[in-house]
Amino acid sequence: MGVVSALFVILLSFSGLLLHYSPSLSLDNRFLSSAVLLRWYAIEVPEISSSYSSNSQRVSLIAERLYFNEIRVPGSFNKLIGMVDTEFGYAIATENQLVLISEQGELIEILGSLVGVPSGITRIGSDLAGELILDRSAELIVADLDALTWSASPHVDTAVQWNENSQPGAQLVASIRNDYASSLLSWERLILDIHSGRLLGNLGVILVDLMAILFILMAATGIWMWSHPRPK
Amino acid sequence: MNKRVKALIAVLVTLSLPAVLASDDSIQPADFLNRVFAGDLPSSDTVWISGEKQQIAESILGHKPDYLRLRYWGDQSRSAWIMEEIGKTEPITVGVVVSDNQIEEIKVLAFRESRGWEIKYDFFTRQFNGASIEKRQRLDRHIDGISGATLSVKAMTNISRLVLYLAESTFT
Repeated sequence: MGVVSALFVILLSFSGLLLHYSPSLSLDNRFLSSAVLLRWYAIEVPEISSSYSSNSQRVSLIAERLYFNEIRVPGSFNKLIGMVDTEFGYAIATENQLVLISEQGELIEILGSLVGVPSGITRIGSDLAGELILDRSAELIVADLDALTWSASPHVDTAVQWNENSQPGAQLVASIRNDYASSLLSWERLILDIHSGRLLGNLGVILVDLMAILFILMAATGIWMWSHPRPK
Repeated sequence: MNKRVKALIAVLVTLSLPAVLASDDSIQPADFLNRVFAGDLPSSDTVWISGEKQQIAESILGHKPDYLRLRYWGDQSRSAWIMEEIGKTEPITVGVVVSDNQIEEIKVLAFRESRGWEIKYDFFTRQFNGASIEKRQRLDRHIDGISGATLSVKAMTNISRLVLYLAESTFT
């Protein structure tokens, strides 16, 4: 019993130390991608919900994350509407925002209602002159991203080349889902679950509780034995 | 009312206080800007964070900035900036008003972390009022930390340093 207790003390102390220094060790920002552990935690990687292609580049939405090709775009996004290529790179539309991306896939800026981006965007496209057109419930808007003006479009719907949802290739899907999966389970969570016993479910928590009671008993009886020496 | 019931209610209220204080009371960026400029919102412009600016921004934040340009409203005499920075795992949205290269006001607009929400309050943010940057983009004063909010305090300090640096390099 003493050896088992000693092993538990070492495990709890070591995991406790790691948790104590978690911020400086960046344990919350280091992730595990082990398929076995993800299965153990019953973490399911969602499917890509929408994907659009423009000028050989592709943007995809998986859960709340946006990927430009295989590069994750910083931020959290609800709904992907489409993408068009522009003179500086790409403009990606969500329902209420325009996400500007450079040719290299770097985030330039996210434009929102503060600069007048209309809400309720349902489609994005471009006309023959290369102007960016937004569809907002059958109201067509010409977006000038330099002047930040949003004016009514003189075009009819059919004069605009709308960006349509399309299926990404299997290799890109696998790459995006792998990247997504490898950012779900942090080292901090794993060590915390080892420390608390939650890694083994309710049984593990009960086991750690029993060991804690055992430590208390051993400490108490040890003090009692120390304070009541046996007569020689 | 029974004394024991009163005591129990007092304990429950005390225990629930942190959750109430940490509740979502985010400020819309548009409301912040309208208040700062008294409803007369000036036009916006952007600063590109590239080249040397990107290197300095990286040294201030401790990581490469997530974006290539940052938007501000106003001009050299008075400008308002809205920026996001990760505290522990979630982004904190902060509005900063700069007047003549000094912070006039800094305000947390949205706090999404479960801990560290104390940085929202005036007792913390007023430490930044009048602050400017010195060599190596350090603030000209010490900012007192908050126990349990180390990363949020760091994010807030870094935002103030970066905005002051960008304002200074843009307007001078």
